[in-house]
Amino acid sequence: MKPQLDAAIVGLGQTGLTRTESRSAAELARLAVIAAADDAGIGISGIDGLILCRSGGASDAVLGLDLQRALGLRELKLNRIVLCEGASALAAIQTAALAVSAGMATNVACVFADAPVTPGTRISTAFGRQKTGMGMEGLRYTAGLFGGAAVHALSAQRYLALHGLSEDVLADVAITTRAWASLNPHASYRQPLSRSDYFSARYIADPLRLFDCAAPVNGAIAVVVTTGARAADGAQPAVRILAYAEGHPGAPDRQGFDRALTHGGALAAKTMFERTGLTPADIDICEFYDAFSIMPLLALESYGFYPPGHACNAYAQGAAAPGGTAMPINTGGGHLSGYYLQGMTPVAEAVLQARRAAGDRQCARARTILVTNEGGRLDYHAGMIFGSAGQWL
Amino acid sequence: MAMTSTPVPGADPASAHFFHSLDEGRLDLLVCRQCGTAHLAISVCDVCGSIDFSSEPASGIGIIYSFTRVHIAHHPAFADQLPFCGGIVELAEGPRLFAPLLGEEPISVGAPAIFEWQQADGRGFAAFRVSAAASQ
Repeated sequence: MKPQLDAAIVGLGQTGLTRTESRSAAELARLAVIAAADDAGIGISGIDGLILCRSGGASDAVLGLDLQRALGLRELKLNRIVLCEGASALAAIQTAALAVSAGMATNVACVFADAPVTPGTRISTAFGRQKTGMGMEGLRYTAGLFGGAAVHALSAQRYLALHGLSEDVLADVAITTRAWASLNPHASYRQPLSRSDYFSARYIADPLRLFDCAAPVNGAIAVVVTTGARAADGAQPAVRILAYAEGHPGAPDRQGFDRALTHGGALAAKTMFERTGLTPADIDICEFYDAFSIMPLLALESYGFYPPGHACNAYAQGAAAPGGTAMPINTGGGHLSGYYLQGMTPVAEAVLQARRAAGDRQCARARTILVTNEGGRLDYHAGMIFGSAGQWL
Repeated sequence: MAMTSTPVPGADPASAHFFHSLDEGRLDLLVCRQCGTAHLAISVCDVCGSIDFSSEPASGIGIIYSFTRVHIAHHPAFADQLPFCGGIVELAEGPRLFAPLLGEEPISVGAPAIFEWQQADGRGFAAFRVSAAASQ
């Protein structure tokens, strides 16, 4: 195993993560960065780099570079916004890892914050904002396909049709993810989800029902990235960044290509596994970006865990659930039952698992953890492999 | 509920010809003069790199690449149609586009679909009529 980079995550800060939270995204981000710096044992004055995650899918309350002033940070060596849609969190962490590896900065905080929920209003208003758009992509609004659920429903519908599968495979993802959420005190939905609960919930966009869609919250998550050497002496067990790769398919929208099912994980997996010598069999846990239940199925196949149409086997008979017989998946409840903070949701859970600080949901094997981020309608993809302290060097 | 028109996007340079033709009631292709690939909106052919295209009328015949029935109206134009169907149609000539889907349900992936010109606020747009019977 050869790590691609000499970098590690040494601090984790989370604020909000509820629908009743009413502070602004900027204030939530400020508090999360302070919490992450404190968690790392360096305090806010130890931060010399700041990276803000930006996504077009987030609400209008975007973060600006003046977060530096709100934090009272002087003489930063790095302050920038990273935009890769839903893949912005891993892209930001990668930028931080490169910066510390190159000596550009020492302790870089990466933060994502969003406040799409107005307490007391319908959740569906959070992400279905009215748009017209430009060009051919704007025709999705002419077709009435506004929120992320509607376009990911197209991927789900085609996936089920091509492989002759039923909606039960989506139900298995939602039910398994809820079982993990029941063990996470920060999760939005903690009541067990029965198959009948799943199927009696209303459709949002066929074949996606209510529990196939992410649980939006207001909140922020920050992590602190430093070099591997410094991480070894940190206040927390270091979480090594073993590998990172992006994969942006750019599949044309015409016959001969299958854009709705072409997942960038195939390209990212090839890069990460080739460069580290790791294989899918080395992965103990997957923390997938699961804003919609179809997404982990496509990720499992693109990363080579299963051939096309067979990812449902990862979930069958509760195999990926707590106490299951196979690889645990989305152990904090993911976006579906946990909380939707885009790419930072799977990152935070991977850090907790790698530290063996995940409480009742701690997995026995948590040495090597795959994290994925997705943006657009499967247009932009990033993957990262984390290694627990002392396992890999 | 006040009626509001179906939103139709503005043109960008690649799609100017496509939207201009639809405003006049036609569904046109831009066919690459070098390699013959049919596009709907294009500046540089992604197959061969040519920038030379000829406008040709599309057959208006296609199949459902994928679809969904939507149960939430995020725009007032769709409020009195719930639930309604939208999806991606693959034209017989190859290109795909998002479009409202009209006609009988159930719709299925691969079902035949026929172009039906519609208008909203002086703009033209492409909807497709799906025949449930023909999809069996």
